[in-house]
Amino acid sequence: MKFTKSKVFKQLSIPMLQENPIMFLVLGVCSALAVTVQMKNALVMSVALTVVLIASNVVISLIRNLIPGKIRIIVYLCVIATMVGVVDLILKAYVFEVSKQLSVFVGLIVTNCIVMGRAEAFAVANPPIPSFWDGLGNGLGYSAVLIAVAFCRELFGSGKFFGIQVIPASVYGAGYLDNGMMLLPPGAFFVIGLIIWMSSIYVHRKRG
Amino acid sequence: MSRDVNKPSYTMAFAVVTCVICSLMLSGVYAALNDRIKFNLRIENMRSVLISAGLADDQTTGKMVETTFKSLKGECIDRNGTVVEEPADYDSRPEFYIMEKGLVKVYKAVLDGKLEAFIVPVNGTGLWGPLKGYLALEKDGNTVKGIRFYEHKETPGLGAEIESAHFRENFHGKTLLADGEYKGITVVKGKVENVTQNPSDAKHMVDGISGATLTGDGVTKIFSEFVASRYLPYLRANAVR
Repeated sequence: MKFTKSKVFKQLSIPMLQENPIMFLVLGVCSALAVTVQMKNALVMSVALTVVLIASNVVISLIRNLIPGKIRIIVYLCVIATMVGVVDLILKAYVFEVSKQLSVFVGLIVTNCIVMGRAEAFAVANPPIPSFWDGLGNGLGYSAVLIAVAFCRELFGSGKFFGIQVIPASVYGAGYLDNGMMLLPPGAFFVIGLIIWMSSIYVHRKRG
Repeated sequence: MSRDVNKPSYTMAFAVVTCVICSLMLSGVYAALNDRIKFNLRIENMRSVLISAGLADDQTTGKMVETTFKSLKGECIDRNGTVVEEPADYDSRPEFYIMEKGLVKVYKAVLDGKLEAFIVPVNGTGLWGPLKGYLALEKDGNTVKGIRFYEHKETPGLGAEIESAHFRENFHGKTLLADGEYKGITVVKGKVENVTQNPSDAKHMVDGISGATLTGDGVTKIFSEFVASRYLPYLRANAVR
């Protein structure tokens, strides 16, 4: 069977566009606004979120037959918060430099609706291996949007790409100014709004 | 035994077990790693002190940081510049001593027995939260050797640019005093060359960060208030021509 038709490929590709967590499920938007001022931060957050999402999906899927229905949301929260807390402590102890950048995002990951959302929508009703792929697919979809937004905001807000100045001094000399609003939350709102609009048009056209 | 997942007694038991497991995991990992983490935080603080004077950078290994830091001479002073005995718990709550008791621990960088630089903690208020850093001065107690902000809550790309190399480099060579009179350092709006053409005035100014005027004002106030109220007698008494 061709890989592109396999279940795994579908689980990885559908959350990239048609069911992208940020653009169509509208989950995880707050962190998408907060950490996309610089591409470096967006990348760190994307990796951290994807790792936590995969781990949480797998763990919750493993205990899915044991969780009492009435308290399941709180149970997800306990699992996720403990996992993120332990990872944060391990980073602080062994790779302090990395943890300094990540510390801000730790709180954002615990409250990120994508993690809870996928736990409830998928992991609790599916076996661990599909849950793994679901976590990876949604993590990649989230990362794609984050990096796209950060690219726009860093380029137009400070003329840089990954911290490297790419808009040459001569352009500034001619009168070009950085768009300061791109560095503030409203700028993120505009970029995300535009991306949601464009991707909606694309997906609806494809559906014909 | 058939497990009815929705029975109240099972729900209670599951909730208790989940809480116990999560708490044990978190507190267990914390207890096991706490010493390492505290050590890393101490090294981080030492590193900030050294970076302000250019004696280390972010790539310096922890061991080098420790060794270099040990070569500094630290002493606790009060607002009159008198050296006092360092309280036993100063390192665990420096804020308390600085803000409530008017004591502060300052450092002298010494090479071959000769004074090379002063390194003093500086506190202030930015736009979103406190600004904390270290200011390094040459042995004349007047010329800025470097500055480093290790804690702040400013906006990335705007106020947070006080961390950037180019903002910090602006301070090198600026002076606090003019003919014995304290001037401090002012972060101007825009570029210094557009504010004044007078070179002796420019020695007390640095370029501002566009879009971060209030953060810049916070930095200015560090010099006009914090440094002015705490370090002048000490620097006067200990400076070396």
